Amino acid sequence: MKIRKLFKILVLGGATLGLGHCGGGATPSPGVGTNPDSGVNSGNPNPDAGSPGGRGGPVGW
Amino acid sequence: VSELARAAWTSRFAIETEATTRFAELARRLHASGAPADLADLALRASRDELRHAAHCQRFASLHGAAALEPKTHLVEYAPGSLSPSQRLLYEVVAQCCVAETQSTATLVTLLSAAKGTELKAVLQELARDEVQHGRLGWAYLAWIRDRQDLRFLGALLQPMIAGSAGPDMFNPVSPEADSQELLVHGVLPLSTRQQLYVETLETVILPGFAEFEIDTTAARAWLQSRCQQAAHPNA
Repeated sequence: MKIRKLFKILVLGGATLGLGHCGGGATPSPGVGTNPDSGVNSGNPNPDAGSPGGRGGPVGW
Repeated sequence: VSELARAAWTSRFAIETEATTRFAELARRLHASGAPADLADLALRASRDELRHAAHCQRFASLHGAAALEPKTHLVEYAPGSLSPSQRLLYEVVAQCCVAETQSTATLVTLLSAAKGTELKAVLQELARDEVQHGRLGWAYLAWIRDRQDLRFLGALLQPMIAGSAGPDMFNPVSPEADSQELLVHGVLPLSTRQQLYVETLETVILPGFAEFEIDTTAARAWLQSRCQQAAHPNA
């Protein structure tokens, strides 16, 4: 398989996923789904959250 | 070769067990942020997938002589703590799905085409199928969030994000042992193939993907070019 085909499968294929309805229950409250900071508790309570410059997840394979 | 294969499957076990926790956390945060339920569900499913993957990795590590493995459950966020909660969530999804899982998909389909044993082939097929969904989750989230959030901040952060995904060994000088074609039989890419695939996936899938979303890839491309030059001329 040509690796560049993954662009179509993942990037373009992903763009059509999950755009149907908002989360947060069957009747989302006003604003939920339109303002990404409006969700409750969307931050990570983990005390190890964050690194100064950011980093990435290792590729396992 | 067996020692390298054992180390690879052991490392994969640790990464897969951590990904179980990471995707569960992403599912919670996606749900809480009001993202489409389909995406939160996809993250939850990914968490379960990773648990299954970890079991496969444990089995193959044991076959290569690994002792009992401890799961890695302690989660450290990838995103800089200075970002807003929504930016941090976006960073996490992009780092995990658009970068790491997209790279993993490329590796798995490459391994699959070279695999010989029936059991290994079946496992790689199962994992590749799952990883496609995990990668798509990130690109789907970007497609949804682009009209709701300014994505430009990611441009300056792509370089450390991508460097982190490479890990410390990706651009190591290639030794004959690390480049043995026999590794493929054990489900591990020879190092030079791994390096080429990593670069190709960045150049033809991940960075063009970010460009689709108008995220500036200049710094990430410059970093990649410099790493490739260093790998080609280690003594320069």
